[in-house]
Amino acid sequence: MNPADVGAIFAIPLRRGTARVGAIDMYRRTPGWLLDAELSTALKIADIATSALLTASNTGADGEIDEMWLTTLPGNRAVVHQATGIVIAEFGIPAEQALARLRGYAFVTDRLLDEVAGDLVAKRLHPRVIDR
Amino acid sequence: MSGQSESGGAARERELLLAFVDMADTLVDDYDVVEVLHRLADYCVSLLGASAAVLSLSDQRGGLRLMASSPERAGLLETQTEQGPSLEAYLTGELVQIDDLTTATTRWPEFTPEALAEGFHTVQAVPLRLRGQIIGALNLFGRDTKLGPRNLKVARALADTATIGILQERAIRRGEVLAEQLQRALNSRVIIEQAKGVLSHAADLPMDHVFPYLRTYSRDRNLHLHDVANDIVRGHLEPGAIVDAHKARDRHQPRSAP
Repeated sequence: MNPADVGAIFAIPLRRGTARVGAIDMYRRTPGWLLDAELSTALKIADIATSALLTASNTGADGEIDEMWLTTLPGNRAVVHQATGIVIAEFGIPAEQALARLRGYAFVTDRLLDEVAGDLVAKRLHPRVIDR
Repeated sequence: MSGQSESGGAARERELLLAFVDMADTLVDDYDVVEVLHRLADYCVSLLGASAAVLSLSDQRGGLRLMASSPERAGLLETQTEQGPSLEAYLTGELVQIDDLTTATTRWPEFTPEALAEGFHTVQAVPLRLRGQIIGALNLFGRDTKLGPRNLKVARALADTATIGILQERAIRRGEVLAEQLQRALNSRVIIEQAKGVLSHAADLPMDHVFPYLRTYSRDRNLHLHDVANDIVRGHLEPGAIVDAHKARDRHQPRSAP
């Protein structure tokens, strides 16, 4: 895209609480703000990208991202964020890694992230089992 | 207890006035979004007689996110962002009012039983409006009686004042600024939830007990809740410091448990 053709740029941070993985830049030929539906789509794309990148950061440079991460919208329930905090406190790791471990654990045990998070918050599951 | 009681005279007038001043301060002062919304929810309970108040903001993805609740426990009714009076008020822009929740079990099959189990029998959900846009909802729960028309009007006015301040009305004529501010507010709530997780695990406290620790620590030091939560999650602030401060405070000014 020729810089002269850029009418608008939309930059959306890829973050979940304190976990930050970057930003997504979107370019459009026509100037002006987004319609509600366009903004909604852009934010959902950023949500999915955040999840995918958080997972990738856990599997390493050669880790392939399972299609599942790209097709499921990330859980946004309070328990997931609280469970992230529990894993941070247990291992002294940053939020990015804590979230990645949680998602990885849910994936290998074939459970929903919400369920695993709920178990951690209710103390039915100790975070030490999520040592990956 | 009765939300209808409009008596109480001058003392009550003064309390209301102070509440408005407090909410309006967001227009000129440095403020923390989540803290302001919690204070608003607290006023709905302490001054207007609601049994519980829950504030949700638009996630701009077609849904709502829970931002603040009073008492904190009312926030556990998390299905209300997916179903129930808040979502309906947000989507329709109209007041949603139910005098007897037992008649609303088919309307909201998941929300209603949860609300009834908490002892709530009435709901009044008010859309939060700003410049023709609806950016969220305030839901007032009642155990027995709902708010009378005058108190409901005050609740709306308080919510409008807070909304205008928080979203800096003058700046948000531009959609991108509204999006930035709303998204930042939503993320602030996520940081606080993460900090609650750290604090709960590190100090071995139940999850639904730790929020007041964060809040009083921030208020006592004139710090933003957002910054304190951020420091805890990033390991710049020891969870022990928060707990110790809370204990020390309790020793000096005994107050009932949260």
